[in-house]
Amino acid sequence: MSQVPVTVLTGFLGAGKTTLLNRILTENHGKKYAVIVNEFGEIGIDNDLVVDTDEEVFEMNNGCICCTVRGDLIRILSGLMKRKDKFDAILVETTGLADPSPVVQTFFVDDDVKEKTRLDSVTTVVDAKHILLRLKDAREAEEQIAFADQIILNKTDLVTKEELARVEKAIRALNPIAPIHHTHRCEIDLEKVLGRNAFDLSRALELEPHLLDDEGHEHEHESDIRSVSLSSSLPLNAEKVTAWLQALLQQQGQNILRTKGILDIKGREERLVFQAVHMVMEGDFQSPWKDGDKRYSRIVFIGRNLDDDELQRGFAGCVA
Amino acid sequence: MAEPKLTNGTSWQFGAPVVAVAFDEDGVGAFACGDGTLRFFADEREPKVVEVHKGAALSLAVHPEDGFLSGGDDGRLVRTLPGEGSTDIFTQKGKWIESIAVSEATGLIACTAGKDAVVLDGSQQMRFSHATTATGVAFDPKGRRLAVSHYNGVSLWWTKSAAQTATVLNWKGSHLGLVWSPDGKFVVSTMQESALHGWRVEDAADMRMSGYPSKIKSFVWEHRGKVLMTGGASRVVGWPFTGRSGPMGKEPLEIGPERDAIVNVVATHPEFDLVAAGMSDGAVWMEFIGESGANIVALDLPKISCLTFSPDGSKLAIGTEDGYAALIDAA
Repeated sequence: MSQVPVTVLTGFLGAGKTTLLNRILTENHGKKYAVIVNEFGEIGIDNDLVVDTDEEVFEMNNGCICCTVRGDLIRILSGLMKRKDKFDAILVETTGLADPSPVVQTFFVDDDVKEKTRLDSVTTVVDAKHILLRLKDAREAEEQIAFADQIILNKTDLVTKEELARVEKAIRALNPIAPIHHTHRCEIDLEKVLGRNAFDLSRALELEPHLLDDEGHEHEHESDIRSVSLSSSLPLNAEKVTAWLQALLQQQGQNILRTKGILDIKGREERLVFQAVHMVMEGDFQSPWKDGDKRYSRIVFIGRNLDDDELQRGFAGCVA
Repeated sequence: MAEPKLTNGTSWQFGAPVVAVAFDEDGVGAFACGDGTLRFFADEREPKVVEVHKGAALSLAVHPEDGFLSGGDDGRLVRTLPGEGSTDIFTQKGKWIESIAVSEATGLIACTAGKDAVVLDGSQQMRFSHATTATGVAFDPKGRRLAVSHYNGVSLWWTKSAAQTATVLNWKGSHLGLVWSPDGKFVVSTMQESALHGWRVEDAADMRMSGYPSKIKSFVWEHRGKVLMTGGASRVVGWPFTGRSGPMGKEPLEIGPERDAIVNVVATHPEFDLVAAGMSDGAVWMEFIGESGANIVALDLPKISCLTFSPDGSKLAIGTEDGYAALIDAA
């Protein structure tokens, strides 16, 4: 059974999430979407479905301290899967002040959700005009950017080229891998946003490899969130790298918001692609390396209090 | 994929996920489906289709007088009589009706609607509110109290008084549904964390029933009402609720063959010590409690969503997530 892709839409108040949702619900795109929102009021929608919910977060009793999930979402997603008409995609809007972790972790923790749906991307709408101010006073704003698989940088018509460059730099300091789409009034081809399989990392990393190779970290923005990217051209030992990542996330998962990687595993012809949200990790072998490909391994950590040297040492210890 | 195989019975394809199945006391059965229909059947003939809900039907119960009750994601609780059509008995726009309870003793009906549980007494309506979504409702055997599951526990409400504070049975975590023991002494909930939690009602003493490899989606009392039969493991796990402390300190029963699969749905026979289970590998078996040797009555079915015996125990009705449904001769 194919899994329905789910896009999680985050973004600070006023960034343009509602504008984007309105476009998705009213445009003649020929697709059938379900949208899970917090408050939408009454709008007539022909083909799509809007479900109203309260964000109900709870902590799993599994000893994992940062394992909070959205119980309402588990219920609603499994309810939607009972309908006769299947959806092309589902969107989940989070409130502007929400920590994105519980909604993302929901897709890792619940077996029924995992069976029927897959997290397609965390898409964060960013207001180009106001984001630099927001980053100074709101922890949620920087977490939403750090968590993103892709970013819609909205209201770019309201800023100068120089301002835009500063905004992009601030975003890159928090998240070096998420593709950035420039828009005003969230005008963007929906095909570019939905059903992207953003967790198919090979593509994301291939698109912007220079960002990962960029070793220099600039600390212009005062956030304590930053990223560390590691790469190696030597094949890795599967057991060693798994054990290292598990131990690392177990110990530091509260500080590490996202981890993504592509690994060249000794003895395997396919890339091992994985990602994690805090302590929960998932990965599998995906498309094989082609003849003539330069094989490599890359891991990007986004989080707080990251220790470059320790991470580098741990990674180096995984070489086969 | 392999074709579904039945040893002795009839099958249908409804084209929409089957969500629930129930029989009334006369042996008329109803499947509630993801296209909003109820499908009534009594034998191997094609079920009679009644369109009831605009979206999916989410819950189903037998009406205390006559006919069936169904809840939907259209915010309606509807009574349907197979020959006479449907009437709304409760509506709340924008909320899903995900759980229904019926009291045989008092004729009361209860359902969930968002954070509220609603008790319907003829044309009277009583509403009980909770801090988080009400996920399940169950009446005590006398129909005097209603138990409602939600985050961090279960609330107990008296069904005859509107102004009251609930008695709350606390246990941290997300509780997804519940049952009341037929002797009225225990309430048991199923949780997000692959465990059941029980309380002794008189003093709120906790009972933790864990060790399951997956979430428990189905739990039902055997016909004497003394053993709670549960899914969520490779065999049916039965918790004995005898004596004052229920299953605490007792070994649970394990029923059924060892299969490399999980029990999704469990059903118990109305008269005999017989248990039926719908497995994650598409098999359905029946086995007498305390005897080894299961009778495998179906193989290679799509994912089984519901399973129940007819009131005389002669038939076993099966629904699946892909719209396949079957009626098996269980005698």
